[in-house]
Amino acid sequence: MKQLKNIHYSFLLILLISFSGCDDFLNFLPEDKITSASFPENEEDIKLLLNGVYGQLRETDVYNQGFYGFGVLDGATPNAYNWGNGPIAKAGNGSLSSGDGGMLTFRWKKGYTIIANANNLLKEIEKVELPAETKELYVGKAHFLRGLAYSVLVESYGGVPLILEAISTEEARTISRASAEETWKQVHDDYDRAIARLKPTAPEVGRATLGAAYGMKMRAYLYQGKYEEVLQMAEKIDELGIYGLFHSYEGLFAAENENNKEVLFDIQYMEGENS
Amino acid sequence: MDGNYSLELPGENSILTFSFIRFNTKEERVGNRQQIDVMLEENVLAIDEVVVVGYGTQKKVNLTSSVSSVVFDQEMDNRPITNASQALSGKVTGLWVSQNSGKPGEDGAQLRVRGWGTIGDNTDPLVIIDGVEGAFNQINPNDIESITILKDAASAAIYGSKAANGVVLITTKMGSSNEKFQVNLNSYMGVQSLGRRYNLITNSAENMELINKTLINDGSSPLFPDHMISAFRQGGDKYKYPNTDWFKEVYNTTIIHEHNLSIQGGTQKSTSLLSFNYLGHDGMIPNTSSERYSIRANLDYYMNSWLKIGGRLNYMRRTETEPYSIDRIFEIMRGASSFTAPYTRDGRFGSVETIDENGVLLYDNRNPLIDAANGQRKRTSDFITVNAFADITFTPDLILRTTLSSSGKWILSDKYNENVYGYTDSGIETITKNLNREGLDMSRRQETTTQNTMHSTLNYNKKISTNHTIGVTAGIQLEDFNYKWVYARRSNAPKQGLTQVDAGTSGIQGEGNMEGLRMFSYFGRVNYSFADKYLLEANFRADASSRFKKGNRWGYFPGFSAGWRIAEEDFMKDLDIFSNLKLRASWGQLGNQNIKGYWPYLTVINQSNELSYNYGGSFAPGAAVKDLVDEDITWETTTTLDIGLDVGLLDNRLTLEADYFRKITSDILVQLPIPLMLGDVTAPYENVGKMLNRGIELGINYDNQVNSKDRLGYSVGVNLTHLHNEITKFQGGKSPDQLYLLREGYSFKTLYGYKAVGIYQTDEEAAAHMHSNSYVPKAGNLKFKDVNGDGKLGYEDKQKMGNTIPTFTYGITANLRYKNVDLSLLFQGVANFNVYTQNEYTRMSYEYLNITEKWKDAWSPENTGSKIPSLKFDNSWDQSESSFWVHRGDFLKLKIFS
Repeated sequence: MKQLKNIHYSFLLILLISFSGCDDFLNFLPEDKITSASFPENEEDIKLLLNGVYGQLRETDVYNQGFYGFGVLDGATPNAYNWGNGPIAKAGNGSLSSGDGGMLTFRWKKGYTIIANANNLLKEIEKVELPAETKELYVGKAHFLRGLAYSVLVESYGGVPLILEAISTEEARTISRASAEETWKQVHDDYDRAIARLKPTAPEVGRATLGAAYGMKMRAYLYQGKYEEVLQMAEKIDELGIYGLFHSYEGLFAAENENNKEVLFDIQYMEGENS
Repeated sequence: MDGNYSLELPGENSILTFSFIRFNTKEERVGNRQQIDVMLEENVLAIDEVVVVGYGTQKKVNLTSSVSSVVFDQEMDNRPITNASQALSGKVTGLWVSQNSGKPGEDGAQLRVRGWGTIGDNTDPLVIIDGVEGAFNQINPNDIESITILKDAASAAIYGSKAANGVVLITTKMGSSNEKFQVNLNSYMGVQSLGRRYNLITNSAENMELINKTLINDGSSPLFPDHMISAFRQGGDKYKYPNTDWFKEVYNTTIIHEHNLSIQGGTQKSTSLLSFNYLGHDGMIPNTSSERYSIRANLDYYMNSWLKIGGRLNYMRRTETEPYSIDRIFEIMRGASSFTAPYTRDGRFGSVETIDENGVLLYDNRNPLIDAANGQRKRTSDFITVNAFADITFTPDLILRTTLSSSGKWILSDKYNENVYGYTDSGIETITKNLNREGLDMSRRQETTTQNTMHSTLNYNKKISTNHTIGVTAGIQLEDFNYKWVYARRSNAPKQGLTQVDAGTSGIQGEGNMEGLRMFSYFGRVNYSFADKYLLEANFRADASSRFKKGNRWGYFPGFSAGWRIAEEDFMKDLDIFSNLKLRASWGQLGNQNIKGYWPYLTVINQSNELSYNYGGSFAPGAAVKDLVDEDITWETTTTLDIGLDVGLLDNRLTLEADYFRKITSDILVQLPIPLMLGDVTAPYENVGKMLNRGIELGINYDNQVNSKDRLGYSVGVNLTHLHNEITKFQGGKSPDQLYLLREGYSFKTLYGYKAVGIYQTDEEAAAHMHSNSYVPKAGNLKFKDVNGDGKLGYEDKQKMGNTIPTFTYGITANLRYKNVDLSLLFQGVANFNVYTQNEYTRMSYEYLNITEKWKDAWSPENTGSKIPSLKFDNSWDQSESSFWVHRGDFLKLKIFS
């Protein structure tokens, strides 16, 4: 009887000991999606993030979107009666307010999505081992896109809250608007950082180049009304020797003339099953 | 003692009384019998009644926590239930049982123990079958011996992080030692039909007149010409002028039948139970049905004086058949008006019969029978559970029990659709609106779930001296749950009738994924009683779960309870009033780890086409974070305080149980709104909510404890629960207005909207009342209370309209036994709760031309006394969320069995 007892006590002990190594047992992770447990690991992962930021530049809907330009301007034509009392009509008659949503909220949200994704990239890139030159290129592109977002925001809304790194939900609730001056300053700051890092040509068509950065900086000066600086930037672009006017203005809008020499930076679209 | 006796009696009319402690007294009239053999039955209300608790059993008198027990005796076995959860209604305090569907195979009831514990969907109690986690729809109700419900934290704490919503322990039947083998065959056949239904206008002429009247009210022209209405009114030919009652056409009375065979018994060394069960259930809606087969084998084997081994094996197969999309049947039925014929005269499916002289159909075909005949969805589920355990008795006081259990669930679900048409009497072919809009497809989905558990407990019970008794239980548990599934679908088969996925030629989709959970726990319990009068119990559980971030995985759940058996005190015994008087109190903490998904703490970097880009025409995949996550996310915790009193009078013929409970759930997961400056991301779920449930449970039972056939035996019981539910912390009191409101200070899902106070009698009255509102109502519109008097209808005018959680739930059971008649009555009721009744049937909507009878009394300048607003289609003012649509939902249901 005593022998039996000993056997059973030791069996119990073994069980208990084996389960102290149970931490691995509980380290159980999903295998269908990329999660923070295994991301980022290498340059490929950072590239994914960069493409994610670029992807935000694309638009697919006419009505409630409109990151660029003026969105749907039907409200400013005699067709306004057709749009009832919605944001499109209000944009035309000047009574648009922040509670109206539609294009107004879209542009704000889109701008900040680009900023948040770019900030996230700048944070995640620190976690990966990369050769210095490659890293600089990625950082440059992130700044370029962030500058682009801030420039659209400041043109449309005036001064906006400046978020320069990934922040928590708590912090986001207490942040407030910067002035228009400060925002433009941030725009140029971002563009300058991009200019310092980008090369005149890019490995793939559609990615930001030095010329693109110069061009966007020039555009920013244009919107600020600083015409002297605009001319200076134009000189710098000319010096690159890559760009020139396309021979036909009409031809600029034809699909086969995509990415011609007049284009400094454009948004790429692709045809496919869902296009 | 061999039980023989002999007596000399004065005469034929003598009555012999046989009695023995713990057995029911039996009386026999002598008559002219020379030999009277009697077998006594055990008294079910005996003092030594044992109740199943977490990881063990306890004597009912020694319980210090709040536990309710339902024994599935013969009375329960004879009830027409298809799922054991349906049998619990009205039997137990603190438990709300509501059966929300009659669909064959999926008609289990929803159980709520002591109110709604949390805001999300995870409010179901933990169900344990024979010590291992299971579900009500995997067990044959005839196999159940008893169900115990652990209601407070002290009793359930030993189940830790899954127990916050209460624990339901199910024990299956088993033979007894040295019992002769008994064979039980039960067969049951019953009919099922739809109870209450909407009061729809089934006279087409009236229906069409009302529609025309409403259109005129709206300023449009009438849809149905007068000659058509009079043709329908004259009627005669039901195929050309139908007056269809769709509820009658779609919902049939159908049959449920069940057969159960069980064999149980035992020898000195072993006990066993073998059972077979078949349940066939035809659904009320055409082409729906379900069949269930199950086999159970329970075996306990006493190898020698210190080793007992046993196993429980349960296999169940359920097949459910239904049309391709039941949801579409309900959707089309909402618009199925009386002037659509169900069938044509030559037996095909019918169509709408309001056709004008040019052959134009004045409405589209809403014949739900067409959707009921469309294709098929067949689901075959196989469940198998195997438990094996060994009990090793080191000394009579020290027992080690180890259980290994494995259960698997395999579900195969096949779906395909077909082209089905309806024909008007004149031969026009039609389909129901949007039928098979995306073409014909076929798909198959296969799900495999496996759950493996191991738990081991050491039990020690010792009476140390005359006054001190101590019991200790300690154990560990390991769990591994895994869910895998795969789905394949194709569309465009070359010929109708080919239902396998390979037949499709385009639209190829394939999906598959895996999820799982792993847990490791320690738990223990200590019981101490002094002089059988003063009882103390402490419970503890520590759980580690793979659901939380490393470093955050462990949760600790303690529980304490104490009891005082006042009836055992000398001063009480002298009074000789109470057969049982016990005061008890408990406190404990439980967790609910059934929160969003299996890896809620991991930030997912979403990769999709939407987030990708392209360079010069070649695709470049992109990814971004679209959902913010709180890495430190943790389970929800429920803290319960319970104080109870158990009273027994008149030798336990009259028993009373009263409990006051107070349950606070904290760290409830809530999504707080976030500013758009964080980008286009969804807000993280954070543990910032709190909810309170408190109430009183009362159970009174009287049983005259007469079991002899010649005298009337009866018992009556009442149980009542009062519940107050309140959300105490949620988004700082600033949650958005919604019909089912979630806001601090209100009960969960309180109905919230405008208060309807009447109907405007004139346009001027309306304009004067709503003078500043952008939309000006007219005569015949509902008048809402303008709470802040600003002449506008805005969010400030919204208020609480009613509560969706009943304040009182109660049940009354009565049982009569006389000679060979056994009659049971069960009343189940709820009181003080409200329902919101606005839906496509009850409101006037041009899309759904079903009209309920109440609209015949609608307000009009000729009918100004009415409470129903004037006839208008889709009037957003009248359809605002208001108390006009709120009604009391109190009910009392009677079930009779004999």
